[in-house]
Amino acid sequence: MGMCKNAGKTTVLNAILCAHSSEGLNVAITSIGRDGERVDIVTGTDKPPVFVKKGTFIATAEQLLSKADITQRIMDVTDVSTPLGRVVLVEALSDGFVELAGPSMTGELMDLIQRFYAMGADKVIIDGAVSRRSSAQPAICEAVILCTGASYCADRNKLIEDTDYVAELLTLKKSQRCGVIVSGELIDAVRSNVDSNVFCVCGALTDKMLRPLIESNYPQKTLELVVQDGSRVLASRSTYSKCLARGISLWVQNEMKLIFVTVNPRSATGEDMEGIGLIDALRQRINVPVYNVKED
Amino acid sequence: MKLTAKQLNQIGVAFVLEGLAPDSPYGIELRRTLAPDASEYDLLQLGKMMAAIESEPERFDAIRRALMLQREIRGSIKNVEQGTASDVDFFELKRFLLQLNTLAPLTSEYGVTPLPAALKILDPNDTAVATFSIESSRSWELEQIRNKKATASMDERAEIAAMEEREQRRIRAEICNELREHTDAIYCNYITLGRLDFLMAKARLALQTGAIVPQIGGDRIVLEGMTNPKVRATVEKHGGEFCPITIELDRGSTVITGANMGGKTVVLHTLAMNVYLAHCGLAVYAKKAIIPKINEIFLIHEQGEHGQGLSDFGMEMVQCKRALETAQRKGECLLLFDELARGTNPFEGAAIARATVRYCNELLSYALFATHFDDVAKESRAHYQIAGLKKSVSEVLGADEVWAHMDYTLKPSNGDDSIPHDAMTICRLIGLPDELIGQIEEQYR
Repeated sequence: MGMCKNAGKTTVLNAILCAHSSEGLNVAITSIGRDGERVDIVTGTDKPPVFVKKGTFIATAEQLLSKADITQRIMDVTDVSTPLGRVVLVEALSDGFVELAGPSMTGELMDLIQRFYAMGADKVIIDGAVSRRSSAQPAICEAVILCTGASYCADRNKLIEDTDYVAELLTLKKSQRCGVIVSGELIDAVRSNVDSNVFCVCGALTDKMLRPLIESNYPQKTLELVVQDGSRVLASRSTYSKCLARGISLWVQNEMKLIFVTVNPRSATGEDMEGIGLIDALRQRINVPVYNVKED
Repeated sequence: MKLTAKQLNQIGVAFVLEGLAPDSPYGIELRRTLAPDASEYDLLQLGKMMAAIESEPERFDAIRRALMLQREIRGSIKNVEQGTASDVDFFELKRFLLQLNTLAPLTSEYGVTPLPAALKILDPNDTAVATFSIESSRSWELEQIRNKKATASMDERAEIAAMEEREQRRIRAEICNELREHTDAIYCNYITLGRLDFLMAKARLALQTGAIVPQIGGDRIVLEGMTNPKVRATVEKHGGEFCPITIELDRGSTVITGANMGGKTVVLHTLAMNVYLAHCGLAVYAKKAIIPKINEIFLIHEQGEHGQGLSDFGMEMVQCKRALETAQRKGECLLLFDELARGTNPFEGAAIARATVRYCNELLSYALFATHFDDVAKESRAHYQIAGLKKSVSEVLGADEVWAHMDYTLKPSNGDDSIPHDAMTICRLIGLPDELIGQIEEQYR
């Protein structure tokens, strides 16, 4: 899951694929959205495409197949359509570079993952984005890797804060308590259920829903808000910190597993934040291992 | 014969068509483009298919399961003909040809043939697996290039990959050339299977919903014991029973009279529905059906398009004009008048209705009038009556319960042309204030 373009996600992908194939595992790979473009249209960086080993299963759009340099076996054509054609399932008969453009809807992604396992894959890797983080929900994914980098923003502090925030959302703890299930407006449910301080929110949790809670002057009490999983929290970092200050904490029904975080200290425009201790700062804030994409 | 989507919905055709469910892409396309232009032959085929499915249900289940796996391949066929087919196109065609091997033995009498020669081109090693890749065995050159690729260094990769793609492209063009002589046969099979799928879907619908194949021809519309699935579903949901309708129309005018809420509109709609279904090559809902070729169906005075500053009555007259003009021009139309001219004063309304009935008697078309005006029926060639309220009713009912006490049986008139004046009874049953009832009764005297 990349926080921005040029976060070094593809480098991480290539490393993972390499590691898996050397263990003799069958790997399947796809993406939400487009990746591995030879030349990034937006910032002009030469981005490395994904390098797959022989035997990898790939799901990508029809039109990208001719650009791939693997020897291909077409396994199936799905009904999922993307701007680049239908999503096709391919087995790599040789090593090679390939560009990924998979399904955009979580339902389609789930079907695809099932198909991969049916075809004999041991592991499925999904190239995702923080802006599409619902694809990382526990029902679909067992683990998440977060990729961030200097390209996210020029302000070092904001980069650290935001990355820390996303990491925190991905590691929210499971709620042990039962609560009132909220249907309709959150603030109404809170007001009408004076005795309860645990509320379960279905679907996404947004700034709009939280703002009335922060701004109202109802009696201060600690509130626990439970969402399905960390990917459902769409609130901004500032709203979140205000909530914490107000005694409102967030919990989840299903925990997500953030394995590690990678950082690309080099931005698309050539700046290097390495020397300013970016990596160390992140290491202090985040509980999971943090790696420098270039070195580790 | 053009009916609007709204009309098709009203008369119950849309409801019936919801159950028409083909499985293959071409079958679905045929369903989408369904039009009332079927022939006698189509209905003959339908009858045969219904009999076939009933006598061999397992075979047709197997055919259906195979048809569900079909995908659209016409684009791939075209690419082969143009020489621009990709691996994905070859994959689709190979899969189709493999499916053909399963389907052909089950459907040979419908003209479906396996194409082993075409399959061999796409599956030279006879794997019979539905995946596709350009095998190294196709070309010695390709094998050499791929061996080099496996051991190439990162720098050499790009060049070798380019060579591989060049050779692959050459092979693809070769495959296209070889396949070209088979594309017509592939296309024919695809179309035939789609048509078969559609025919099976029509037959299944008829068998599941108890519809029969109508007889086509003659110059009399005969429908015995006809029902309307849409209305029937509603009636049964409320615990009632749909009363089957028997009616015969000669050319010229036929009139139905009956009390208010007596179901006259349902008769019109059901007649229109069955005639339309028959013309689409579908089975109809009746115990017996003889339907001549009809050119147009007109439903006059359906709550329709307003605007143009006309009242209900004005709009109705416009529709009437259109219908009569077309009937004169084309002959053999079905004209269904639902309470013609009720939107104006009774004296003029009855006069208009009577005159129209007389006028339509001279036409080659079939005109059916539902009316509650007096003295209209005697102008027509035939007269039917709906029985009306059962005598046994006495206590006050809610408005939505009156229907439960109606006798909807349609019977040829017994010579007595007078309309049952049930309006009073209905008012009493629905529970209008007693004083008002009293006042109305005064008027009667």
